[in-house]
Amino acid sequence: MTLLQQIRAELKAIISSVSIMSALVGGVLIYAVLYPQPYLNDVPREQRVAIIDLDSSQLSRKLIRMVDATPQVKVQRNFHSLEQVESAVKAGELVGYLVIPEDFYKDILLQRSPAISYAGDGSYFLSYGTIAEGIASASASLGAQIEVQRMAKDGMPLLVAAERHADIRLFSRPVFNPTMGYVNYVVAGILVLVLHQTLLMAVGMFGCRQIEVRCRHCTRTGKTRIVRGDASSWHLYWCYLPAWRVVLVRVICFTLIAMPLVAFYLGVCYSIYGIPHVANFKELCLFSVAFFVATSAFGIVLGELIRRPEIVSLVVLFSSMPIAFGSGFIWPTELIPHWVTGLIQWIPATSGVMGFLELNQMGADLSSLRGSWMQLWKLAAAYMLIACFLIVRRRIIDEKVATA
Amino acid sequence: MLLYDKWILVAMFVIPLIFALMIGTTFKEQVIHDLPVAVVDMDDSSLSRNLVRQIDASKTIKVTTEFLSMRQAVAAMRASEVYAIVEIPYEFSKKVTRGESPQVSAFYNSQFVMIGRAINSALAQVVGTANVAVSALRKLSSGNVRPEQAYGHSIALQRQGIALYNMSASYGQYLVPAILPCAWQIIILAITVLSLGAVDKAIGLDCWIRDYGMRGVLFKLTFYQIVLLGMGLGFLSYFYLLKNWHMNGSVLIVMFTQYLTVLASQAIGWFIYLRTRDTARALSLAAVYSASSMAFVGVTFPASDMEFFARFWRSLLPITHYMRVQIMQASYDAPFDMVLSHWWPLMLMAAVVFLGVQRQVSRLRCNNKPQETVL
Repeated sequence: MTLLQQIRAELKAIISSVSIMSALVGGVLIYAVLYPQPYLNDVPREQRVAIIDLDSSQLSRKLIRMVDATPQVKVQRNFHSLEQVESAVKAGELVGYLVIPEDFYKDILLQRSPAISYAGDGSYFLSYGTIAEGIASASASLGAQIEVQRMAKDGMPLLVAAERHADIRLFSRPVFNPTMGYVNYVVAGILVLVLHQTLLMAVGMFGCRQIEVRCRHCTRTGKTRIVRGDASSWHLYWCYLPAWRVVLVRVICFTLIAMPLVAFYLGVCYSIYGIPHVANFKELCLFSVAFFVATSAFGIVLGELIRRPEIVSLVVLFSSMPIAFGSGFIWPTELIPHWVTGLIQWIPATSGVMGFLELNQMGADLSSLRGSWMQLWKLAAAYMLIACFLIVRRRIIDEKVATA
Repeated sequence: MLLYDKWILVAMFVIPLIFALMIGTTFKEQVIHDLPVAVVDMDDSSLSRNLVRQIDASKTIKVTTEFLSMRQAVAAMRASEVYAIVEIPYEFSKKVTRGESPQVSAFYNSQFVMIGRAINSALAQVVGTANVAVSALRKLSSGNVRPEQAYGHSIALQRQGIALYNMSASYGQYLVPAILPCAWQIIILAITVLSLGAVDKAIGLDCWIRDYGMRGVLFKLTFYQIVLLGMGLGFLSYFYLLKNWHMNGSVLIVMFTQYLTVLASQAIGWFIYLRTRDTARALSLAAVYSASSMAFVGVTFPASDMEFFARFWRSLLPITHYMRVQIMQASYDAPFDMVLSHWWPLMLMAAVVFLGVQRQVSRLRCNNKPQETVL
């Protein structure tokens, strides 16, 4: 069997297997639709906040209007007492509340810098952060207005005062994801992880299935060993070809099959969900190849170690969340203990997710992410070697069984 | 042989332990601190160096590198070596003394929203403090004011925020109590599917049901319920005994909700398995159904901001109802009628799906003659 024949036979075996293709293509399609659903609104907006206005002056009402005008907060007006507000927070009707103290206006006039206080449900940290952001921006602009008025009162021209109300101005801008949107944040990373997990499952299951096919063939024909040159078992090429050829061809085939899937995710899905993508096409292809080669090789190892298709998917399923939280795009890598990062960097997804984000979302070029790109090739080499070793070991065991 | 498959043992004990250990240690640091930030100090005056020191002194961020040009700094940020760049302009110190209010620019990586947010608010705080110091000094030097007055005059109004029920504003306390239950739901489904698959492979599910009848089914359900509730009790004690996170309500209510969650999820597991009669395929379906629940439970993204389909889908996941009860009990000891409003959907789910399962089971026919097998 030539290399080309082998590739053709392998591709045919993969594509004609319903369970492999449904896991691979079906999984990729379903998750492309399902995963972004919670995040379609991109940023949490108009979180409900009650106001307890103990001052009810013209200025406190102005602050309320300004808070209400921010995109983050929507003021709910029908709450008057703290008890009412607290029970509404418990019922999930309110995210939090803002208290404007007594004598707020008077203290401002006397330059006593009064404090407004707010509280929110910390068990929903994102909603709390959103209202904190809204209240901070509203109160900062009110503070600036007051400051400008004071300076104008002291005789400074209004235009100059507006520019110089703070001694140091901070111009702070989010980059790479200007809206701080969740689609870009979570979905971009998760989709790469989905690709990794489905490919891993498919490759692992395929390996297990081939072992089963061999067993069935042996029981049917009564043979105990499959040797090269035996015409009746010519189609069981993975049993007699050298292990390196089996591994190499399988990696090539799955990489070929996965390339259209990554094109679908990064091209079609990213456009549909409005995720910015800036990577250069050639670099993206090069990185994808490294990613899929490493992932397929890892999949072969998993399949050889576990040998049961359903257990492969079980293991892959449970690894998803630790990889997602450990790979650094949700929780900073710097804060994760070294043994965890050391362990999960053996999984191609860790370098893959960060690499894709850096290339495609953050506009890095391949030369600047040499680290993750090299890491993927190292993993690919390591897993291919381990896969060869495992295949050879299994053949030796089979041979022993056959002779015994 | 009760289990028929050693992998079920792995799924019951090894996988949950490794999972909890990994997640627990990942979020060991409760708050975000010492995030690497780059500084481009064009001024290099004592005032600008002082500002750099203040940035470094902030708990959230740490100045790891000082670049000479923005270009190098941007490259470092693109390669995620640093999460933000702070640029202090040329003649910063001179402009401050002249009262020309120079502008410090900060660019933070918002691809990682959680990190970007933390950096943004830390920088705002640092510059705010620096401002107060500068302006208090100016007011003092103009005479006529006492120090405490000078500070008071420097900020027009202050604000204080409190994250209720999560006073330490800890990410671990907010994420881990959601991650583990979501994984637990996946385990319930996986174990249910695996255990049915094992029986099916060993003696055939149809024959097993004919031989043991509903008593066997009940026995099987109860056995796994005990194991799974033990797991549930395990993570509850991790949260509220070991970690000592607040539990203001009743653990018993949470535990009963766990029981209902197990019941509903077991029903769904049976349903999926009987539909496919194939462990691998049933497991993939269970994965599609439950693997993304973390996104849907409404902890990472508020449920009120979800679109119709997402809200519909989350209501079909038992763990959504469980999570709400757990948060309600832990945070605010919610009144019983609010708990009940989440028990009904769970009970309904369990009842409806078990009826479906009952119909599927009644259609099973066994052709083998009875065997002597031990339950």
